[in-house]
Amino acid sequence: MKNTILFLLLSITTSQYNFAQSTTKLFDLNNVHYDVGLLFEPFGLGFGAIHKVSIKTLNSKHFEGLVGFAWHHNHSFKSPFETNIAPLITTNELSQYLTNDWKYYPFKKKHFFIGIGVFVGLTNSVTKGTLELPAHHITEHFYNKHTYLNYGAMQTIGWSFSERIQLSFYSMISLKGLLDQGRSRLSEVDSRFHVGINLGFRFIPKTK
Amino acid sequence: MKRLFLYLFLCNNILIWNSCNKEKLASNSSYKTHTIASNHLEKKYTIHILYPPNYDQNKAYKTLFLLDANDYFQEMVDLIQTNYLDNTILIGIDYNEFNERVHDFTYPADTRMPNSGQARQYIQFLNEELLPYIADDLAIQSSEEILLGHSLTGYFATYLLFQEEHPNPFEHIIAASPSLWWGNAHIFELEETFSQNHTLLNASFFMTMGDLEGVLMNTHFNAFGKILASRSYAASNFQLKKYTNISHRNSPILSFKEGLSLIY
Repeated sequence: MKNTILFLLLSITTSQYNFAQSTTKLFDLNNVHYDVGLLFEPFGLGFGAIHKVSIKTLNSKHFEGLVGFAWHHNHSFKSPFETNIAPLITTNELSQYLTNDWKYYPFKKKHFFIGIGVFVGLTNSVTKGTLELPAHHITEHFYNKHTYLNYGAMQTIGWSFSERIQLSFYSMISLKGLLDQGRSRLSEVDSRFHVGINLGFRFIPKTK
Repeated sequence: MKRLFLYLFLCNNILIWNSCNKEKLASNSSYKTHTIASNHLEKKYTIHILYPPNYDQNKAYKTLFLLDANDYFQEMVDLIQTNYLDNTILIGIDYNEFNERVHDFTYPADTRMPNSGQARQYIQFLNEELLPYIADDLAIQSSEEILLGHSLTGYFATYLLFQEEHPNPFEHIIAASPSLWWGNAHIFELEETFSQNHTLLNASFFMTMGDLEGVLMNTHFNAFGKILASRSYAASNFQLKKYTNISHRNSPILSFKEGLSLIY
């Protein structure tokens, strides 16, 4: 419970701070970022993609703050031990998150950055597959759908090529274990750990 | 601003790594630790024993044998102290050096996993080395012996029940989320042979699975459960339980708690 409160306080205070520091018009197209990333599961086997639209609410010499909305879809392969299981991808997940990111540019020129962030939202996970054991005349189907509150943390390291384009590597971990006092098993449905590569675009309208 | 960012970065890391922490548990100062060497397996094991308060060497107790004690012993101590302390001795079997659960708890061997497939030797270790050590050297009297296993050790517990090469020394077996897929689902073949020679199980058997444990685990569990229910030894004391919204990491203590409630 203590950890849950700490996480929520952290999320709320950082997002509030983000807005409070904004010195620009909030919904200005100059401040809209679009990120698309490829994600992989280093524990277990899986891949996915994440799309994020965020608004820059803080833009100082060394810091940026962004608040946004993300869609994340993930597909997990069966393991090499699952020789009697079909199909190849047995779990599909679709998530929607609210995100809050902070980026720090340590040098004079805003190229290299490191970032942290939090996400909170819903994940809908569908697991299905069939076991075939012909020697025992067994065909067993399985289907399970699970929707849950998902939340976690992100860390980023990247490079801004220009005002418009950024490339970064990032990790994303679900911290759902904080809520149910379970152990984290980073390949499991409700405890996933992802790493990925992300491309970010900033929409800067052409000046007349 | 830089300080705030670094503070947030630190908090972020603390949150991430803190997600792996388990609950703070009751004091474990009341358990003792011993080392036993196994000739069958050519290695040493560490045995943790939680005695009840006012332990009487002349009295017989229910003895719980917990596999994967390196992972679950602390939580089982908490469970026992909350619920079953008066008439229970908890014996956790841990490793003295390296964790070799794939080696100890599987049969048959899998060529993709070096040194796997030593479950038969582990049964001999239990029957001929550990249990005599508990009874003779430590003078622990047992009224009933209960085996608890999860995942691969859950598979071992199930394997122990249905193999016929060595005696099963346990009156009760609790198998949480057993890896029934091991060895190309060898347990199905083993059970089929067992069913041809037996009309009853030789221990009470409680087997569980969480619905979030994936296709591999759930399909094998469901199929195996159906086979057990169809046998003539369906009249034996066995129960299967499927948990909702429970993943592999959440199932063991929940399963052990419910399994023990059926025994006590």
